[in-house]
Amino acid sequence: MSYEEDVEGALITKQRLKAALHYAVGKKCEEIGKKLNVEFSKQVIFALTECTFKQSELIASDLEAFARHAKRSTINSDDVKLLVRRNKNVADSIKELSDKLTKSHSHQRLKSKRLKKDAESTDSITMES
Amino acid sequence: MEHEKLTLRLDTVERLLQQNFTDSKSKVNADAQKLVSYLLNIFISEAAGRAAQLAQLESTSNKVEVEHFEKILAQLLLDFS
Repeated sequence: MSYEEDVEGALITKQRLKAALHYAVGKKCEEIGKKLNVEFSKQVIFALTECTFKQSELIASDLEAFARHAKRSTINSDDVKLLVRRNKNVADSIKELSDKLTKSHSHQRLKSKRLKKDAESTDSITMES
Repeated sequence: MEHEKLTLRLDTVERLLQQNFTDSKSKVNADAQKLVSYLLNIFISEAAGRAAQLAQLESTSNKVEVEHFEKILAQLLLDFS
């Protein structure tokens, strides 16, 4: 009995995910439709949702395999960069975004370090006075 | 690249990926989530853009139908494999 419940539960999650994806795909097509002055039929949006869902399955299995190969259980940006290496334009775009994200991380770290340093120096000043 | 808004929510992306993990312990870090979301965004935009372009070339109406989508699908999947 509980096996069937599990299967049903998994199916419901899958449906919810597809519905969420369907909404996002619809929004994106609306955006592009306005830009290019076209209208997307409902079947196209359904078909694109299916394809994206399938594509995400492939992406997930590849990313998991890469991380496991590197003896990690958490997928990181190196895994994603490896995934897209074949298509040059996509690879460059992903690399650009990844570099931007790492840059903003190091800025955050510098900022919090500076704030910490300032806090410590003000503490020492008040102690002296 | 700046103007491409991330239409996909990050937790949707995480759950989408986790559905297909064989190991229950596998997780995705925050940066990788953003990258995958961006990647899926590119996929959807490319598909829609190519289909729209084909529809405009082939038909007189400005409606993108499944036949247009089907025609661009093969090359799209090769480009993203």
